[in-house]
Amino acid sequence: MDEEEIVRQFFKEMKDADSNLTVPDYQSKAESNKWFLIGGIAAVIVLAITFNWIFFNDPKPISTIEIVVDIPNSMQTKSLMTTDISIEEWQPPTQSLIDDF
Amino acid sequence: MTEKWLNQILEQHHREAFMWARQCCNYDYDQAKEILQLVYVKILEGKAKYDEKANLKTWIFSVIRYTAIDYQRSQLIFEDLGAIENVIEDEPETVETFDYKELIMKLPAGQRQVLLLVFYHNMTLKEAAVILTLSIGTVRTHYDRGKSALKKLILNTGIYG
Repeated sequence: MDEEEIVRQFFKEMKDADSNLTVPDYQSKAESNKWFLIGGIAAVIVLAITFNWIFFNDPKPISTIEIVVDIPNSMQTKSLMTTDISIEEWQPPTQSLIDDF
Repeated sequence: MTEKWLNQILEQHHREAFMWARQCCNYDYDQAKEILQLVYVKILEGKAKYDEKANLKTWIFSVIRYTAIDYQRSQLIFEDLGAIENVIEDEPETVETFDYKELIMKLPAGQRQVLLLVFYHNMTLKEAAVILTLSIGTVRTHYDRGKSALKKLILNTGIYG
């Protein structure tokens, strides 16, 4: 056998011997790291929303507007308490009252 | 270059990559396993980037070699290549019992790596030069000397008559 052939034969046999070797399974560490990262971000967002909802979720104060209708030459004053509606939305109970005003 | 695609490529070359990692760390199975994990993390996190100058297998082998060198330096077990070179260049030792690993480890690191890349991993001398960051001339010298030294070692074992 010449030099090249001897060396080739040696490596062929070496490869054959190594074919019985158990190779550890392929594991993508970065892949699992990625899911840890995504999970972590999701957990932080959920916590932030929960925290915000618990501590900063005060009900808005209901604006209470007192409207005083002053009728000239009269001793009468009418006081109306409105809740939940703005002054623009308020509808007079009677048209005559507005006319008089 | 998506992560999914990289995963597919790495999985495809996993067995050969493990064998090369094992050869780069003196056939230490656990160390090879650890080095390969470091290599995969390096590649998938984009710390080692494929520049498309060489083929993918060559690039992966190159990253494995660098990682193995760094790892061994950090573990303070980096072999003294010069000392081994002197021992082998003089006269190959007589081998009593035949062991492929033991035999190949008797070659100087440069010759051993070139022969492994060419004969074991079916690479060209040019690809071996890229992986080992050596000139093609140096690789050719390692190749010729390595073959000659290995032949002497093999014949000393008497396995081929």
